[in-house]
Amino acid sequence: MPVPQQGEPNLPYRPPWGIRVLGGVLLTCSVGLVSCQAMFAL
Amino acid sequence: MSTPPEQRRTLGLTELILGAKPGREQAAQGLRRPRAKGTLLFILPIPLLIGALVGLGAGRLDAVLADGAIFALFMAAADLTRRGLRAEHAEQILRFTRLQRVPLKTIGGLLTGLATGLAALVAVGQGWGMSLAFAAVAMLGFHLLYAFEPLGRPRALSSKDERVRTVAAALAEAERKLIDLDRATIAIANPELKARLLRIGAQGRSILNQIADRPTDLFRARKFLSVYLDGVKQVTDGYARTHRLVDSRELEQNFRNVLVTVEEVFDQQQRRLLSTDVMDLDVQIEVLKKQLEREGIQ
Repeated sequence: MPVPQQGEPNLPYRPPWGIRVLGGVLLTCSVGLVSCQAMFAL
Repeated sequence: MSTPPEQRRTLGLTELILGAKPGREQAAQGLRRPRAKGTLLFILPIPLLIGALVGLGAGRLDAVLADGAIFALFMAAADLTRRGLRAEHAEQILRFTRLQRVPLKTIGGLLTGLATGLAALVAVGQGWGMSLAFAAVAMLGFHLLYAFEPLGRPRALSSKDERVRTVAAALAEAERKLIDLDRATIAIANPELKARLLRIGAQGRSILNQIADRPTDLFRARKFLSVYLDGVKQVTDGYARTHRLVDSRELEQNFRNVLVTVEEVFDQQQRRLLSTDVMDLDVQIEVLKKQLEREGIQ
């Protein structure tokens, strides 16, 4: 009788740190830039 | 437990960018805290709030409404993302139960994209094309950093074998009872009783792990899964509800006695399962030895 697959560890997907740094840079450039532009648009 | 310096440096850089601290104590306890907390999403839109406040000072209602609403949208996105990351972490602790969850992170990511696009379009006055580009870059960045939840997660157990499904369902059910027990434990103030209940929970989980490793044990542990677990859960729930209302030494002592008995029973159950495993292994070794002897290999 095979062991139930549910018994396997349930780890979520986590991108490698280099990819996450790139994601952080992109997010900062888009959200941060737009927010700053909105602040200075007044 | 020491960490090599290079590893520490890599972690530090990542943590700095993700805005979270490495949880060494939790790692030592075998629990991984969610390292990414979505802090960046709370920090980046702050200029919008400043813009709204400046607009308020300058008497520009349109700017106040636009910047304020978009800031609120960003905060909602950040909050959803944080909840999504926490839910993901909670799911990591559960071994047999898979919760049906709303894709909070994905909704958070989509809201971040929407808020970025709206900020570019309304608050900055960019064209549609540029606003869409900003939204797309924000969502791409979000995906790379936090990862959207995969669509159409594969079913946890796709086996057609009836017995395997029975074992998996029994384990999931038992784990849910243990989680309820943990929740009831939080409400109990007495540290000694709390420690006993935590020990019982740990014993229960270890029995479940044993059953998962050898599903044939399920039929030997049926009483544990159906009677004892239910019993201890009900008694603990009842005690957690009533002990704050009634200050009774007798009730506390009775509850303590029950917990001591439960601990003993769980311990016996665990040892019984182990001894059966040993017995099975003995039989297998004996059979193999006989077979080798029969075939002339000593």
